[in-house]
Amino acid sequence: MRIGRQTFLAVTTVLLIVAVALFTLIIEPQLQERKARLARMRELQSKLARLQADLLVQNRVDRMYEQIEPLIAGTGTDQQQMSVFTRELTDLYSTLNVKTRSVKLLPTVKEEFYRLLSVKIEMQGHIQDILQFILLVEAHASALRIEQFGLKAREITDEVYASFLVTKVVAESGA
Amino acid sequence: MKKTTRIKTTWASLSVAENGEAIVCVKGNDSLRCLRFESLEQLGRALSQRALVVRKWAVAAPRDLCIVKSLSLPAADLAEAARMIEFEVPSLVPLPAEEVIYGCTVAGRQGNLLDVLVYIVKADVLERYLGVYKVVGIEPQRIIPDIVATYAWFKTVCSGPSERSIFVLAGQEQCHILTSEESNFQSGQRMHLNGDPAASAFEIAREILHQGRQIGACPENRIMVVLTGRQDLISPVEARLRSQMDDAGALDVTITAGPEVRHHRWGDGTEDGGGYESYEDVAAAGLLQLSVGAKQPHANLVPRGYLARERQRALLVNGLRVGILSLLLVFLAWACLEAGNRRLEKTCAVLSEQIAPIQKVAGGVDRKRQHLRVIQRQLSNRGRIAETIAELYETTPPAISISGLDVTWKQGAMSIDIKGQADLLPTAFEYTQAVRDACLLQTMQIINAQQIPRAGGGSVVEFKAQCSVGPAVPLGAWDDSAGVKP
Repeated sequence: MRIGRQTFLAVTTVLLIVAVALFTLIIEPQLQERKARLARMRELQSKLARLQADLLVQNRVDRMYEQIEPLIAGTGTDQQQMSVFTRELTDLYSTLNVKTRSVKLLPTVKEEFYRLLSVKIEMQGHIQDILQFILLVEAHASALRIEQFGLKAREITDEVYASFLVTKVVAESGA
Repeated sequence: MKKTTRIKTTWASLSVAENGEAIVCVKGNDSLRCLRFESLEQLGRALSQRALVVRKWAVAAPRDLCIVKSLSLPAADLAEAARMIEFEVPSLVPLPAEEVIYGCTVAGRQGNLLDVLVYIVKADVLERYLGVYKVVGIEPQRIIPDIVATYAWFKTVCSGPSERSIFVLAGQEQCHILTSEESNFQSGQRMHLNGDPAASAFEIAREILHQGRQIGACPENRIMVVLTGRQDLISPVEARLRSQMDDAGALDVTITAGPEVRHHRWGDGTEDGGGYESYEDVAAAGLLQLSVGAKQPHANLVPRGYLARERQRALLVNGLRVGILSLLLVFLAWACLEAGNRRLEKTCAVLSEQIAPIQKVAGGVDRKRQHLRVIQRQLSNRGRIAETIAELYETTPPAISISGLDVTWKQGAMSIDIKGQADLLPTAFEYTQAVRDACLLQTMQIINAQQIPRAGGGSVVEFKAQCSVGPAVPLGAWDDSAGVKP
């Protein structure tokens, strides 16, 4: 039986459509699911390996953590923690003969297990007072850190303008 | 033949004798095997019990069913002639072309004209004839006139060079005489024999001589006579022919046994053995040879519509098979993927089960490690800024005054951008030499310096410098074994 070209094309088209439909409806979802499950399995494997490694160093980490735990303690909200942080800074420079030009609260950076609070302070005062402030910040009981420090002297005097970006780390809320 | 024997074959031919016996011919390992059934019903039972499994059937159409006509057509070959016959049929029989079915064989060629023998059968007659076969589940793919099939059987015996031949098959009650010219079938005669062998032999010999005279155009043309069948008949026939050689002209008489056909009687387990050929056996054997070899395709009397339906049905069946196989393939692919996914799910469940108890114990370690890292970073380089400024104060030459400082951390290392003034340009560049002996301050680089005139006369050099500070001192409280790195 001779099959006409039109019939052949029609049958081929229908077969192609059916094949694509079967692949899309039956095979591809399975392939997608397989891909997702493989990714999940690898994730679980790496998590298991990480936890097993953690188990080995747990005692050491616990001992070290006991030392730093008071430095990172803090369970309040971002606002509450920022309030504590600014109060600490105010306590530091209020005893010095400096004039604060501005105090700017920067957005809190939230990581998986901690929050990073940032405050930018601009002040004017004697160079010794500014240096004193630096010493106080660096010796503070909380884990404060000066990320950026700028100093400008406009005249040939010891009166200078200083700007600081100070950060503090606190534990994640609810920890 | 034992009842338990099962025969499975692609092609089988069927010829029905006048007494109702059905002869089925199948191809054995070494020869043809003819199975004799008492009736079509017995054959039907064998088929239904699947003792005999046949894919394609060829059926011999009795000569009484066909009208045989001779025709000369200006055709190059039989295929072309077969197409022409469709228009010639109304002139051959007083019936419309759509009511008849025809087949044809070559009878000879005269110049541009092809002589053909046309076998015409009425469609409804053939339909009725096929009805009895349909009852037992046989739908033939080939229906060939029995004389064409018998001639085909004789052709396997006589493959000599003779241009004219007479084939004689002597049976119990009938004798068949076929003539051929230039290896083409010409005619077939059937004689009813009386009981006396001598009288029958005389009649047969006379008919052979008559046929010889019919096909022998010239006396010098030799005619080959092939005798087969009952020995008690063909021997007297041969003797009579030889005694009348002078009268018959040039007759070349041959007695041949023909191809071996084994006969079996179905059902009672007896085997007749080879050697004896009845007309139906020969027709069935010839028919099988034609069908297996796909010879004489234009002699097939199967209705065209029936063949088309068969092809369509085969196409549909094949399409369905392909479709089912494809679906099966898709299902298997799906099942394989599903099985793989389930195995993965099981592995995930096992891993989760392993993780759960460990997580209870070691779950907080990662959090603590992160805290350690970030606190370590916060506490690293404590006092560094104050120390650096103190060193800067000590190492800065008196001829240089600093007007601005910018302290930043780049990848854990401190970097200072310095703005200052000097009296002279060389003094500014001497600043880099001055910090060379410092502990914390390492390389200093003047990146910009320009001399600016003063209002009251003289000038001042303003410069920008970049200074890197030495690496941080490790705290020592944390170590790498806990996964905490600076």
